[in-house]
Amino acid sequence: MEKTCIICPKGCRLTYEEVSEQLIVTNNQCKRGPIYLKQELEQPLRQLSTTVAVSGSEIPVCPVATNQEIPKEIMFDLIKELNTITLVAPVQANQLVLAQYNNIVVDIRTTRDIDI
Amino acid sequence: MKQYDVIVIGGGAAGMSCANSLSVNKKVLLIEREDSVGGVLNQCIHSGFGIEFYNENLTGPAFAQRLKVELINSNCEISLKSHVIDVNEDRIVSYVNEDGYIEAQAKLIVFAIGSMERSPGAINLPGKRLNGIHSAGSAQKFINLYGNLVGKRVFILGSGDIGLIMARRMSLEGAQVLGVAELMPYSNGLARNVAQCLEDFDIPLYLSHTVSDCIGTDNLEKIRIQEVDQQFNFIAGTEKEFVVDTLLLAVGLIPLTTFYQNLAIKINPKTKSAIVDSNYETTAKNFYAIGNCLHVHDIVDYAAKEGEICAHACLKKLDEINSLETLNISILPGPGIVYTVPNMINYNFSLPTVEIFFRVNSIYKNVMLSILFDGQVYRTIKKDILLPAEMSSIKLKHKSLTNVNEIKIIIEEA
Repeated sequence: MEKTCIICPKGCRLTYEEVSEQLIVTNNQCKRGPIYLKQELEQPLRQLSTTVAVSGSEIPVCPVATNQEIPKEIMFDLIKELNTITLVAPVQANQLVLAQYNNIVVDIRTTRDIDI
Repeated sequence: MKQYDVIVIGGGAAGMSCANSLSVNKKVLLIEREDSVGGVLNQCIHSGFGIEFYNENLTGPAFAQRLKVELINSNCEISLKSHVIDVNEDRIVSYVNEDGYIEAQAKLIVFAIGSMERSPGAINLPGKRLNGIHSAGSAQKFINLYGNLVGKRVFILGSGDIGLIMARRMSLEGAQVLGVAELMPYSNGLARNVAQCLEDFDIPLYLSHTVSDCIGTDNLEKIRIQEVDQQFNFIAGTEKEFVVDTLLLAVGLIPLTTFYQNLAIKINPKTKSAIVDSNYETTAKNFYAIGNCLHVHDIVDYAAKEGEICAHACLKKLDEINSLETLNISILPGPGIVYTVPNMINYNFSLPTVEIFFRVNSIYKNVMLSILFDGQVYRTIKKDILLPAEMSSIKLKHKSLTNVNEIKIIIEEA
């Protein structure tokens, strides 16, 4: 079977098979490939970037991003949750927006300053 | 009239990094059209920026924020919401803003004005010009800067990274992306973006397909796509129809060359922008070009790096203005190479190493990249893969260039 590694821009097309409960990965150009694949098969993780509303500024939305990877399956629900949040200007870069979602650490932070 | 050492036009990644490096001990004016600096980075909220320039994986706004903080803390004068209307050969820049019409003169001018997206007209998009047809970048600006989703049922033409990233962004905000069509038989985006932007959201990618009709009265109601053969002619009987309210065009960028005509700046027909030397100086002396208005970059890090190299050259020129003597080594793109930037090396003013960027004309696997000095092979590098969508580069040591007149880069079978 095949999967594209998304760790770096090279994007290796990993091939893999399970031989007596042992995962055999080939076509990886570095050691991060097999680690990514194992995680991807157990629980896919993704980085999430989106925006949240801001009041009190000419700029109506502020970009935010997860400071670490989160389970792929919660992405859509997390976006819905973030769409209920409104920050108040001034906003500082790296300000915490949401620490946890359903007991999962998401560590969503702003990625720019927004002045009044 | 106000006098400056350098006027930098455009406050994106290239312009900011150039202004930052110059402002150490020079009088610099940075002119920016928008109400904040940052350029296109402000709307590129995804990560993947900064790996080369900052050794960190940052989002676009976070990358811009770092340059902006440095800029605000420098002595650089920043003029926001200012639109440049003319630059003449006496290096007088005319611009308008809320204070009215202003003229300023500098010893050196740096263009860092970025690029524009190809429009429906530029690609002869078939069908009507209807509401709901947007360039991918303007849709990205609407959603990421203004918080407005431009449509609910979306089709995307072009599989470069911005097309793929917009497919994911629109999906995450609740739009249904019905597909992405790509004229070429391969995606022009990174493989990992195909995986995490399309495959993650079950969005089909139609390779060797393009839009053959846009249908509607005032608003877009339907599009048709069709498969193309190797000569890009439509293949009859391959039409597919999609009911959509939005078509996003992610079909490439063109450098903005607005001011080059009046300044006798020579143009490279391949990049459709200025010919420059290794200091990013154009053929019109004392005028420089960096960033996407010079050639379209895959990653912002290279644009920011160009800003620094250009600033270094400007500083040297300002301090040694009387000992100005140029000795240029020309760089020629050989078989397989579309273009190089720079087009020549200024032997006198270069840094210890010169990085030459180039693009290839097709996909190459397991080939040898050879660098020729005056027809003799200087170095041969084995390359596993070279892609047209990915800019490559080689580095040459300044001291290796003594008595060299011409450099040629060629691709050969291994």
